[in-house]
Amino acid sequence: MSGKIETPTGDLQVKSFKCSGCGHPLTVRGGNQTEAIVCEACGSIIDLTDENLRILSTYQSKIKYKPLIPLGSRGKLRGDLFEVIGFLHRAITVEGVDYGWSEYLLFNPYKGFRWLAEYNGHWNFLKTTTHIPKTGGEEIPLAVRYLDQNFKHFQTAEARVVYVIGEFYWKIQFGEKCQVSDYISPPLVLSREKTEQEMVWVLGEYIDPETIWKAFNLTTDIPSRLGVAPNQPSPYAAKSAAIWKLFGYFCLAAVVLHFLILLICQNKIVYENNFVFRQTDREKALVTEFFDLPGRPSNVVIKSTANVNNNWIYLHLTLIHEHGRAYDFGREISYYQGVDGGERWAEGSTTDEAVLPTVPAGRYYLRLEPESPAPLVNYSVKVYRDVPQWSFFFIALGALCLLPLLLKWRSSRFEAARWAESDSPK
Amino acid sequence: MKKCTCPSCGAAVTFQSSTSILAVCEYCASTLIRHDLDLENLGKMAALQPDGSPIQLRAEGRYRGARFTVVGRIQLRYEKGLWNEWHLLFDDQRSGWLGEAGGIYAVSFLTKVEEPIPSFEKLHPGERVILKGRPFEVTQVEAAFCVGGEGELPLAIGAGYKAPVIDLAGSGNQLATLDYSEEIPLVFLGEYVEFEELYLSGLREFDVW
Repeated sequence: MSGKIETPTGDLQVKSFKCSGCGHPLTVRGGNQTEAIVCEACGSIIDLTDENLRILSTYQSKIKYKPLIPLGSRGKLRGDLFEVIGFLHRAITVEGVDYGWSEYLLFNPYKGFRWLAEYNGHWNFLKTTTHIPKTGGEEIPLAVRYLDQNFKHFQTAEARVVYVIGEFYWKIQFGEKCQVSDYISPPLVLSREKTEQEMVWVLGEYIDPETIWKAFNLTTDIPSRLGVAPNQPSPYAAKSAAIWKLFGYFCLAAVVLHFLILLICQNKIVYENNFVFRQTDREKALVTEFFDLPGRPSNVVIKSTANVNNNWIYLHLTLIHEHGRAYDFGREISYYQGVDGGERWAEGSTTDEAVLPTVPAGRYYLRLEPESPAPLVNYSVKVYRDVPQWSFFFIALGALCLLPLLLKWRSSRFEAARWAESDSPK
Repeated sequence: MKKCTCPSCGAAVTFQSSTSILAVCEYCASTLIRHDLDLENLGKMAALQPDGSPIQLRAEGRYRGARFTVVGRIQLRYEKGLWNEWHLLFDDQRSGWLGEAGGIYAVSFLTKVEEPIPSFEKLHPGERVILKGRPFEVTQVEAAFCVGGEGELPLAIGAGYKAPVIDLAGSGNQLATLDYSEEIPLVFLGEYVEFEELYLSGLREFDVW
């Protein structure tokens, strides 16, 4: 039965015949638009526009690629039903390394042809454009404008057909070459395919493999996605707006919270006194009278000053509750100054501030035990209750900033990974 | 509408559009030219090639809100394949064309332009032509020929008639076709449209679809 197609008048009915090369049964699915069919058994490319079904060429591929979506599968993509009628594998060579990808030709008798292209587990759904994108007119433009969007040049390379089975609307040839230039505006990709005879533009959109598997009812494993595809939408770009909004809300919350803290903080001086340190005193330690720390458990700030000059005083301080609970800490006040080579210098300070973060309310007194090499030091101690701490506010703001910074960093890493494969690096 | 009888087989032949001058008898495929008083039989129209087109005679649709009926068709062979120009008759008696092949659709109208039209030989892909004050770029120069026709048409055609045409692209979806098959080139201006936009009904149905 090889030779004539069995149903010569069968306008767009499924036609079956035997391969002119090997007798393998072949089915024409794409209707009358199909110009050539490639036998998967023997690699013969058969001219369907020729009534004797002459073989255009025969090729032997060392590697046989298996389509992930079998020929003849039907699936609804973007609202339209399509049937897979052709499969081809194309490759480019960049700096001596081959990069290959698969293309599936889809057909619907009313809507025409579409493509699904797969590279490293990333998929695009493509359609030939009916009008020409705007370019600056260069041989290989760096940017093109289409659908009111700017597309940036990503890569230009010579692609060749390395494997092919099924039907095509042109007389496809094994090894057929064309110059492919990809322009991106994620999630869209615009590809210019240029041969000696013609130039076509194909518009594609990044599509999740899960959508394809569901559409074509595939039960096989979905190949995992490797790296970043040229037009893969950045997951961070979408998150960015939400994150900044959240950041804004948190900042506002921090400001409001801090303002409230300022309002409710007592910031009250509960004890103050002046003391004199004398080297000659046998007993230098002393205790203060009782003072009250009122309100909720809160901080206590102890500010001390001493008139040391080129000297130091060490204060061993203990805040003691009337029932014996004690907070023990030491502070050093030192101040040195002078003139060295005509330049004044000074280091240290005559004041000090110590913060005890959470001290419950109650009656307390201070025990002071000073130490100093100086013969006489005047020093004073002031005790404040419930002092607002700005440091917490700034720490909170700093921590909040980490979120957008992290996002920015991850986003730029994603973009870097995307453009790493480009020959127009950014 | 004008009703006639096919001089060859006696079947009814109607000219729905006043601009139609040619009709192909649906029964015997005689090519009939309309004259004032009678029909001239030019002989059998060549069989159209099956092309899987979903459009057929009497299909209806809408373009920019205006309803149309498909009343005729010219099938052309380009280097790359077959291309149909379906003759549309709008409700207001306007004639239009629906170009179609492989799921690509374009609606265009015969348009008078003031600008001089360069000759077929002078135009090459990439060149600019101003039509109705708008710039167009030549995308394709084709020595197409007519495979055949059906229904009623506003021009006389026959199998093998040469149809040198130049396709041009304007901004956005705009397109223009220059048809050099007659002495004075005809200018068609229109745009590419999506299948859904045409709200087509009465389409051919396919067995397995």
